[in-house]
Amino acid sequence: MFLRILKKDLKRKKTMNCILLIFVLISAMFAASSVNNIVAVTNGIDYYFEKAGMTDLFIISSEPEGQLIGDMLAEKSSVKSFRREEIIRPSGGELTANGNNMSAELAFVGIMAADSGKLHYFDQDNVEITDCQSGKIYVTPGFSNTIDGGVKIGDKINFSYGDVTLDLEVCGFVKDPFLGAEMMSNYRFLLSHDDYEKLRTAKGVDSADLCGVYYVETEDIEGVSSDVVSAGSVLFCQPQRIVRLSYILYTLVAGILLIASVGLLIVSFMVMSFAINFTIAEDMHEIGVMKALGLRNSSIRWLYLVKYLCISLVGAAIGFAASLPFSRLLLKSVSQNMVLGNDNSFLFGALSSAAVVLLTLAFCWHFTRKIKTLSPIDAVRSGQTGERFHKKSLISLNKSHMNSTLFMALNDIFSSPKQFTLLTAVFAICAVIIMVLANAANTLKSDKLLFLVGTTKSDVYISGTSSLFDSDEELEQFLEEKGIPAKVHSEGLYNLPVVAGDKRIGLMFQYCSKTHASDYVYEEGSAPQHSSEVALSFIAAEELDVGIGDKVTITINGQDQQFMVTALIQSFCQLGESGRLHESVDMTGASLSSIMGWQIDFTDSPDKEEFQRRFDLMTEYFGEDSVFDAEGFVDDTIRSADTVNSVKSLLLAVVLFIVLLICVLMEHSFISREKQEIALMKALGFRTSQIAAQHTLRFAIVGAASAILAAALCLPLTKLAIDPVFGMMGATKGVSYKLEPLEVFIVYPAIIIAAVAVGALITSLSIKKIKASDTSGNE
Amino acid sequence: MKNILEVKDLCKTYIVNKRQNNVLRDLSFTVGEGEMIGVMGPSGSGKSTLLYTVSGMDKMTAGEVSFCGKKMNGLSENDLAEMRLDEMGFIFQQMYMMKNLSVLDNIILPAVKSRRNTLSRKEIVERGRVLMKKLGITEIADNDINEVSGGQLQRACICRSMINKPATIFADEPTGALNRSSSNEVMDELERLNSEGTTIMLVTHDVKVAARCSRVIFIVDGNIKGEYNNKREDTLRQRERDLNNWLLEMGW
Repeated sequence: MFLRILKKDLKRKKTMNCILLIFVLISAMFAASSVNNIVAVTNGIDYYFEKAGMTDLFIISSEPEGQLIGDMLAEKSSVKSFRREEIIRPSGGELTANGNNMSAELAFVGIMAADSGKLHYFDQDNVEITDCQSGKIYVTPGFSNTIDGGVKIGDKINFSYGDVTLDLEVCGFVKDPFLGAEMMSNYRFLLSHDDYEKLRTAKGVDSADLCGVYYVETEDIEGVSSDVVSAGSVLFCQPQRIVRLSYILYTLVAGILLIASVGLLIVSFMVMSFAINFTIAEDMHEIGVMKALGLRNSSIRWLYLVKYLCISLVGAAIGFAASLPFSRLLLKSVSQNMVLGNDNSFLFGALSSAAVVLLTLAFCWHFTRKIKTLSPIDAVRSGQTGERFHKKSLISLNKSHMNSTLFMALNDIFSSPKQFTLLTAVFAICAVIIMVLANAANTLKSDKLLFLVGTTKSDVYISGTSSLFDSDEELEQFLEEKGIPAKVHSEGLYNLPVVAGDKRIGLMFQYCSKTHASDYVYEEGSAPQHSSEVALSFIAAEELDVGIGDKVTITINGQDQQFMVTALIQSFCQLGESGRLHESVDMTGASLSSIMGWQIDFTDSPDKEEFQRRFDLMTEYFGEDSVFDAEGFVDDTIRSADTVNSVKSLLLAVVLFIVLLICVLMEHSFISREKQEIALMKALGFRTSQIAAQHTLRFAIVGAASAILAAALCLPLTKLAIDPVFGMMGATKGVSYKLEPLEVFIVYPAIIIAAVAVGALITSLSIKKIKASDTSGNE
Repeated sequence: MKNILEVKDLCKTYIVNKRQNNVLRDLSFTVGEGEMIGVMGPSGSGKSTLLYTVSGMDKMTAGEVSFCGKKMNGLSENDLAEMRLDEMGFIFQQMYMMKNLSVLDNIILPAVKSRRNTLSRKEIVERGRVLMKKLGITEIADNDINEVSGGQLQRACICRSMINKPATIFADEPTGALNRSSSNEVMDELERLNSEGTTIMLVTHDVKVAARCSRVIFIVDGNIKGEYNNKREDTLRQRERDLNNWLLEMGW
């Protein structure tokens, strides 16, 4: 008998059952894909590094005269093993890709023979690259992303280096575990052995271009790196955890995706709980009849459990299947640069979908508990006992002067506050997800993060052209000749060993002799005022277990010097493992890792027009990809804004789809429930358009309320969600966010409201099918 | 007497599971201004369908219906809606009301919605309260519709049907869900309205209700089998008896 009742119910209430099915499907899809993201990315880094053969310590040194570092490592007892890779880091030359002049990017390129790799390199199909054909080249995806339109397989790259010119064809993209993360801002080219040898023996090139990359297995990472750095000529020396952190961007992206996925998961569960509660409330009359006939409460509840079990099993199965391509879509930007291990994600996804089924049953059990408390006749009256202890609605038609359509819409909202509050919360969460990402992306390319990059604010920044000029003065002169009176300075980055007590680490120090230490931002303490004072990042201070007033020993050019810590800073430099030296410190002979580009300050205070003219002139000369204002410089340095923006755009599409779907399904539910009332309104003489307007208006009001709520919460929620993300990058004390009022408070709210209204309007047109004579309410 | 409703060769057909069901077959009749017409017949004879079709709530399959001189066949949905709002009133068996509105708000809703109505909101409310006073339900103005008895609710429906001073009231089994005492109250009200000039067409299966009408149309299988004129000069009891006898002759 129960089976018959169930079959009839599923057949008779097709609309509501379909709506429920879709909500369960969405919940299962998001649950499975969210968990899949977590598993694939967090385990993925371990899996990738293990597969690639990554070691404990990574060193890049300039070795024009031989394997100095190699010899040192061979002698150290604490070094278990090491491998050496040879690469060319061109300091000059000409590079074009698809006709685009990419010479400025050569400063970040490491060229290697594909058959000489000491790590495992993979192509986009995760097949290991062990060789390359002559005339072909593998590039890292990061290089492709620097070119407008990117490069595809088959595109041409022309490289002139010394007296050698190579015409190469892109045959694939390489996943470089060491330098492949975009945050490393380095690219790897893999060539054939022969092509590499031609470059290696090219004439008229700087011998310092030849570098050795050492992959070192050791337990004494601090000791080895400190000794290595002291030897000089070291361009890079970092443990695996720093390299791992360079993938932080992908973890960040995945983390942002996770936050968004969790938000969407909450949305889908809220809506699912509404749908279950709604459908059970609709069935109260029938439940009452069953109670009146003498069926036990447990029997009635079991009937519904079985019904929801059937629906949720189907929904969860389809949702799980849909989660697989959805998850792949979301992870696409991450898997471009990594080999992701996903052996268990299938299992976790299936378990998540099963959890959705259990949750559905839990909701069902929870919302049917009312059956126990209602008498049969109360249930027959759809839960109405005839008693009321508070006002039904806040407004009355007889006391209001509102337009009747507006009144009816508002009255519906006030009469069912829980229902519409839930909708408001759902749409607010959807809006907040996008606003938070927008705030993060806008901040990542604003000058609000300039202090984290460790530079002062200048009029113009030129990066990637350090090879064009030998000194600040040379650039100043060049600019003077072009009619641009300016002062030029640049931030130098020095990788120096630091000792405090028994702790030793290598830190990246920022130093500029032409600025004052007091020009920079310090979170605690005061700026170094003497050459014996230093500022450390919070992370560095924690690692060294020092605070303001403590002393540390820094080795500069082979000499140990004592410094007092006077201030603590936040910094993105080397993911927070950095410090700043006073401008009077003598850095002669110290090995400069890199400079952060030229900073140009005009000395004649030009007006806006003249400023722009000079900016355009420099852009013309140095290239669009090299000349920036402060915001552009931050974006170019951090290189995360575009990725976050892409994620935001993807999620905007997903969120809009969800909002539309929720509106359509909710409005269908409402129409199904209110069919009799709609028929009555038509019988009384209401037009279809008037009823549709009322239905659309109530959703639009909810949309507007959610937009206001989201706007009010977006900044605190941005801090809550994104501060930890920036903290992982080195900003441990939080940042000030850049809010674009038009985008965040007008555009996105308007989009959400429009989506809500459109979804409701389109669905409400089905009111046309309801006739005035349908007052009996039969489906 | 002017005819307020003229029905000629009215047909209504439903298709159910590919089978044609002719609910109304070539019905023709008229309703004069100020009349109170009862429509009776066995279950499934097409009484309610007739009511919904002539009032424009449902589309006719064939035939002609004129209401207040206007042919309803050619009118659009919006025109029909406007006609129902301004010129007709409806009373349903199940006392359908908007559950989110109070009793008074339900009553005044058609007047608020009507474009023809030039009264202010205050005046509309006042008219609603006057109607409620006439029908003796002033005390339930601010109540929820679930907080009143069936008789009170049906009287509220009568108030709602009268708020725009329609030419005609259509009632589908107005006493069907009520007890005897409430039924009498409702019929007393309808008779009073009729005596004030409102034309009423009601569907009923209750002989006591039909006896109060000036004329009764008896429908069987979608056709008019007979028409009976009640003698107003007789007592209600006598009319009931005579009508009952007539219905027995009709095969009721």
